Amino acid sequence: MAITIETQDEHEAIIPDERFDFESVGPFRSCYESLTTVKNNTVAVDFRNTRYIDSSALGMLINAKTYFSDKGIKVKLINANDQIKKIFSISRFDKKFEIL
Amino acid sequence: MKILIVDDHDFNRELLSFILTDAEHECIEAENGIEAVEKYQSMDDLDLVLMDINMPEMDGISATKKIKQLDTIRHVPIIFVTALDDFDMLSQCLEAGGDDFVPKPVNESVLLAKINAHMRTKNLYSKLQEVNQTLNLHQQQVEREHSIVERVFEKSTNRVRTYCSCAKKYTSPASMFNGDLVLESPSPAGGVYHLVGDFTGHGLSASIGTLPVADIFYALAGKQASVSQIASEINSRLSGLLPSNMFFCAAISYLSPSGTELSLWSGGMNDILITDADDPSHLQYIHAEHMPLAVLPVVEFDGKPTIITLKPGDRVYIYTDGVNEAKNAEGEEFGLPRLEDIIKQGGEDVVRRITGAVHSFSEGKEQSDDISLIELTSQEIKHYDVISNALVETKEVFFKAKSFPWKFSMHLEDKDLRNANIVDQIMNVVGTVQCVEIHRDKIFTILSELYSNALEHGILELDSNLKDSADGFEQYYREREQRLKKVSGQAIDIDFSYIKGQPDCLILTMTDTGIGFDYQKAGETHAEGNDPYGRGVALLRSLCSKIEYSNEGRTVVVHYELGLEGGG
Repeated sequence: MAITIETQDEHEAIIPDERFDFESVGPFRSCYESLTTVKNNTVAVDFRNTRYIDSSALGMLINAKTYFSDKGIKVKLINANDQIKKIFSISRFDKKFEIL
Repeated sequence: MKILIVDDHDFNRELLSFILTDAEHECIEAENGIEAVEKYQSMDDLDLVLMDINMPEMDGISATKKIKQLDTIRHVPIIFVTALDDFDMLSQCLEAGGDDFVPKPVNESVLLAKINAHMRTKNLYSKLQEVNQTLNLHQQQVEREHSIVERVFEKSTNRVRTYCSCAKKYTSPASMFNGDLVLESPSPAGGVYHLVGDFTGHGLSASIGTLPVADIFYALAGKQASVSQIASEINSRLSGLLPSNMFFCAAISYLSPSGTELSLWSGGMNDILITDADDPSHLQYIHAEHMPLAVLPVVEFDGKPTIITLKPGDRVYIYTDGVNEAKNAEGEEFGLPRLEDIIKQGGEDVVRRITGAVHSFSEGKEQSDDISLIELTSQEIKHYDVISNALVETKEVFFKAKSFPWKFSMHLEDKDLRNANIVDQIMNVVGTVQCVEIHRDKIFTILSELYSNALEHGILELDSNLKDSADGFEQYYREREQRLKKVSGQAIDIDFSYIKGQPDCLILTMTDTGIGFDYQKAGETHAEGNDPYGRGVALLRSLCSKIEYSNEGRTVVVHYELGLEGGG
């Protein structure tokens, strides 16, 4: 369950592993809470390596959004595959996040 | 040594025979040219011929001509025994194919010394012939092997039965043997994947890696994987396979079904060039952001893709360094400016003009590297059958796989419930059935939702309300772990059945021994709100065509349709 952080050109990116599910709850939270400075006030969750998610993943993203919105930081979801994008749209995440 | 003595005088033959037999040579005698030719032909182990010139029936010069004419393979020296006063005659002897002279009258030591000298030459000749033969055999073997390997490569890199109208591709013939690779595969969603790459080095050893690369590329493209995943998987496989001085420069791209979004992973390649639809002379350069594949260990590998938005008519050029590094007879390189000039001119036949220009530039010089090149044009992606040229709906191709009806049941008890990987393990079994494979991601989501509900709410009696804060969320999962340790005498039964129909359907039944589950309350969708929980059941409802709870929520049956889009 390696979740990594990378500073990309336009934002900080959090990159979950192939599986983003309930086992990632602790690691994911400590990951985003460890971000002290955030480039362009934007954090991206980069799903380029992710193939499977479950509903706890949705919960984690909502938690992250809540955590960052208090700090005036925007959360974007990027590089999700079509299946994951579909799950996002089923859950109306397109109304809560910028999905690229 | 076996020596043929040709002379019409008995005395001469006897004298020569006497000298040679004394020196432990074996002697055969012939009385004239005709007999000499016959004996020569009947004996394939002759080492040398001593030839008289003037003889009845056929003279020595004619016999020599005949022998040399009949036998072009063996090297049997012919030494004329003659008086050395007629220079005209001597030159005729040599022209006829004679190798040397021994003066008459014959001097024993001169004769033996000449014979020894010719034997040394003959030995050298035989050795050369042996080596030649080995070399020929070896070459034939290499050619046979090449043609086998060529076929294997051809089959393994050319598996797709469709082509895409948005892509023009060029690979020089047999360049695969130098490690160049161009692959294309449609994606189940209708987009298209490409890989253009070049292994370091030349020859067969450089190209051996193309086999695993093609395997991974086609397998992952069929699963709709991201370019990052494909790159990462290839890197991981090649790192374990190639020697440390070998690596693979490659660009892997995915063009979305609309043709307007290009995802790209590029490592160790030249800049990818993009021309503007309205003004092709306006070039955009996309640098390779990564190291070549097989350089970095798995933990350091960076799969970050570049996402490029294209507008219809924009063109993307991806090429191996054989293009810009092609040299002319003076050793000058074709170079990037020449390439860019052609691309900037635009038009429909840029690929043909580039390959034509490179070939005429390097004419007269053996091509130093092979060249591979593709052009992608932004347009709505359409795939066509390679044979009939008919339009192919790739979705149907990918989703048409059928299975026979089957059932699969599991009974999971306490220790199985504590196994954190249980959903993975089940998916590893069910997900490999050919008709299920393509739906694997969604079935994973369904299975893991149902399983979490049965375990967390039914058996562990956890309350979702705990999850309403980030701390609570985490506490919920800590609590889950604690309670799981104490579970005793509980079980979850899972049944999969594959039912034939229109479309085929996968029915998943899950029953737990817990306290039951308030499915009506859980069914109220929270999706519009900002709570970090309560999305599971709503998710299930959208993925499944049917969902039924019974047995006070302990049993749930869901139907998943294995149709084109999958789910409900």
